[in-house]
Amino acid sequence: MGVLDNILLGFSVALQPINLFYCLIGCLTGTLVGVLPGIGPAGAIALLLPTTFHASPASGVIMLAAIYYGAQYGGSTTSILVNIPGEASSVVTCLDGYQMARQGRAGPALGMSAMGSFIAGTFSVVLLTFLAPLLANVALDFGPPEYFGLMVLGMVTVTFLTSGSMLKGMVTLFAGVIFSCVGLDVVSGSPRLTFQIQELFDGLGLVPVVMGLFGISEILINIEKKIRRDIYDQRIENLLPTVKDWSACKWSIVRGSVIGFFFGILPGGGAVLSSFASYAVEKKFSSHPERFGTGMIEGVAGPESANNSATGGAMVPMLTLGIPPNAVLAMLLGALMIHGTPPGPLMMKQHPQLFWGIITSMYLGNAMCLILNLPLIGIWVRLLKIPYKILFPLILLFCLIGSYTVNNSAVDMVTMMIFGVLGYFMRKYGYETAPLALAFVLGPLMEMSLRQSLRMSDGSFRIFLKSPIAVTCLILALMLLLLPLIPILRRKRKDIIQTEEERQ
Amino acid sequence: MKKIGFFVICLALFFLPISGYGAFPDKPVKIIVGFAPGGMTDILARVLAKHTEKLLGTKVIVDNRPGGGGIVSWTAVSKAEPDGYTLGFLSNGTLTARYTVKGVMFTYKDFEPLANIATGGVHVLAKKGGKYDLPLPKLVSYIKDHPGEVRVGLSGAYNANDFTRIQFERAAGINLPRVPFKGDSEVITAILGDHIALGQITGIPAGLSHIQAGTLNSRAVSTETRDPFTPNVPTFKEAGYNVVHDICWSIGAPKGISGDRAKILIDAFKKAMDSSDMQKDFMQVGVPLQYKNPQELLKTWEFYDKFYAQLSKELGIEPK
Repeated sequence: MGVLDNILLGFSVALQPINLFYCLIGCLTGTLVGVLPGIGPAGAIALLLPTTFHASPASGVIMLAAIYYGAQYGGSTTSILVNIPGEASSVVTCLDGYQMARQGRAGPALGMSAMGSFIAGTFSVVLLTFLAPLLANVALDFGPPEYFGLMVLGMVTVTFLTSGSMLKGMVTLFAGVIFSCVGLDVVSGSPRLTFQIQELFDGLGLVPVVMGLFGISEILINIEKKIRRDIYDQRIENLLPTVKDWSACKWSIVRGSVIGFFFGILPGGGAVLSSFASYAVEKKFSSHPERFGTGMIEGVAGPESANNSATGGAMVPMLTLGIPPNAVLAMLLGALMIHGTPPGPLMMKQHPQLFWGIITSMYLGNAMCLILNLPLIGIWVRLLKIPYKILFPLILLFCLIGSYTVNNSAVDMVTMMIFGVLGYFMRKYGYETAPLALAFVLGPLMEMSLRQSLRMSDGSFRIFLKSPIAVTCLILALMLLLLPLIPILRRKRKDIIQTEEERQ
Repeated sequence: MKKIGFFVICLALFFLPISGYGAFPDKPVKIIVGFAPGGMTDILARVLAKHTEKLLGTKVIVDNRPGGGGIVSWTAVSKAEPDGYTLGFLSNGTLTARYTVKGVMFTYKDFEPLANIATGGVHVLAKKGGKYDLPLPKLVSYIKDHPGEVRVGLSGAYNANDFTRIQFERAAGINLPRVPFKGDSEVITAILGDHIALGQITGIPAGLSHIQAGTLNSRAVSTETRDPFTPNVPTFKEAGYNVVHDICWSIGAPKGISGDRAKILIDAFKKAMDSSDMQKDFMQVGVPLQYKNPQELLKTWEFYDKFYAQLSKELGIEPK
């Protein structure tokens, strides 16, 4: 009964014309910055923050929140079309989404990603509505030892991302960890691998690294090939997913939604981690794991659902505990503080209209994003018909602008170019770039939680055995690592590699 | 849609420089902030920018250059043209940097003080009603009786927050090891989840809602006088420990700014700080506004620079 009252109260705020207007502006901006690589929701919110000073707190925050989840809708667009992740959480979407586009199936990929995002986004808002107060404490259960367990599990799932040689996968994984070490050491404050460049004190930027590895390297690979344009001309009129696509994806979307929501609750790289995890899970569940990476629509639907669902999950600790799980929500927290309504344990009691208004506006916003995105698919797909000699310089330009705008730093542009060349050589020699990207994200989180744990235990590793969550994660990780040693499964993996070689 | 977005940006760029022609300032003034948007420093700068715009008759833009705990931004400000259009948001980190990080070229002498904006302290937090939620003297004797049990979570290493911990260790004669976290909100999460006994945060904004809700308790604050947001929390001194450490957020210009330009800015910041609108906004954010004129600010800088030089020498900290 109480929940129903709250929802009605929320809609009475969210449905006010002025708030609907702000929500729409937010969805539009979010979709746009999501599409543009590099320029992310964090930058957009920072730019628009001052404009909310004069609005009511509800209007302002509804708009900023809409930018946040709207960006997840747009993020997949460039991943699918040109292999450049619009957001870090859309990295895995490149793997199969881009292959689909090359097969002339950009429309279904974009359509499935939009529909999956909508379903998952709505699902996560429903969970947020009913479970927010109950789930608040889940985020608190995760201390340093628990995070370490989770990160180890995350690292192990990387091995499922690779379809080629295990050894090469490991090499790129470790390279990713080493690159993630650049910057000031969090414990002692001393610089590591920074070569006296102050801009590197906070480490290499995720955005330039990812754009270089995926986008720039893609351009380099393509200009050396004679491209058969006809690939893109086939069946391009087919813009929406078919019934067959739907039946392939329905469970992927459900799984992605659940995974995304729970990863979203945890502070740290929730959306990124959830998209990788969802991809690994889809590959595990699929009856054709060997075909992942060749344009499987499940590989798009799962991760795209997960990263959208994560936005709802991330709102849980933000609104109920005042703990922002990522940089974008930190900004949202800032906006709420400027308006004198700091989120936290008291928000639900002191500002119920605001609390429930924000949540219910997310139902409307998700619908708006879907309506905005579906007609755009036709336009995006047509973009692929632009000749490469025009498209490539444009992509390069957008990548350069995007990498610069994150920190207003030229070093980031150089970083992107270097990683572009690195990515080019990696791909030429059969090293996949996705494991590097994931290790780069997880490395610092894993190091931090390990060192925190050991400082808490005076160096004793027993601290990990005392925590049930950590133990569970570590056992799962161990099982995943040992699975390939079981003979039947080993043969299966051999088959996978064989098909991979045939493909090349 | 892309086209419209581009058009709007062009339009915005076109109109920016026109606002307010004439003498200084005739173009937007930029405040470089060394932290990401949304953090406390950023919010302070944005609130200040909002209230100074009208007084200066030009746009005041917050330019975020995160990196190296603010070092990237302070280097940029110290090297900027001293024409009054580029200002920096400075804090205690501006002073600690050269004693703790190798390759830092600036000192406080590279900045012209304009105004102190806010002064806060380091709060010692414990979970309310928990085992460690004790008045400071009792907490100290607990730590002495249970060596190796109590740790404090805080963000960063060898910064003002960490130095406060060391001051406390020395004043109380205890060993209080640090567990590093990224940001104050992570520290709060860890205390709430019983992963760490105590936490130290700079200023109160991140923890205020929890203190009000009765989930966290602040047991001491490092300022000379009590924090107006937590009037019931004693200072370290009141609790019997000689620990004083002010965290000061201030505005500075690159050294060499002309006297009359500096005066225009100083007057504008003073007026903004005096306005009740701005005081109201700061109240909402949870940061105690404290104005200091340039001379007083310079004294504060000199005092803390000496203090950090002495402390890092005693601790044998070498810039690495």
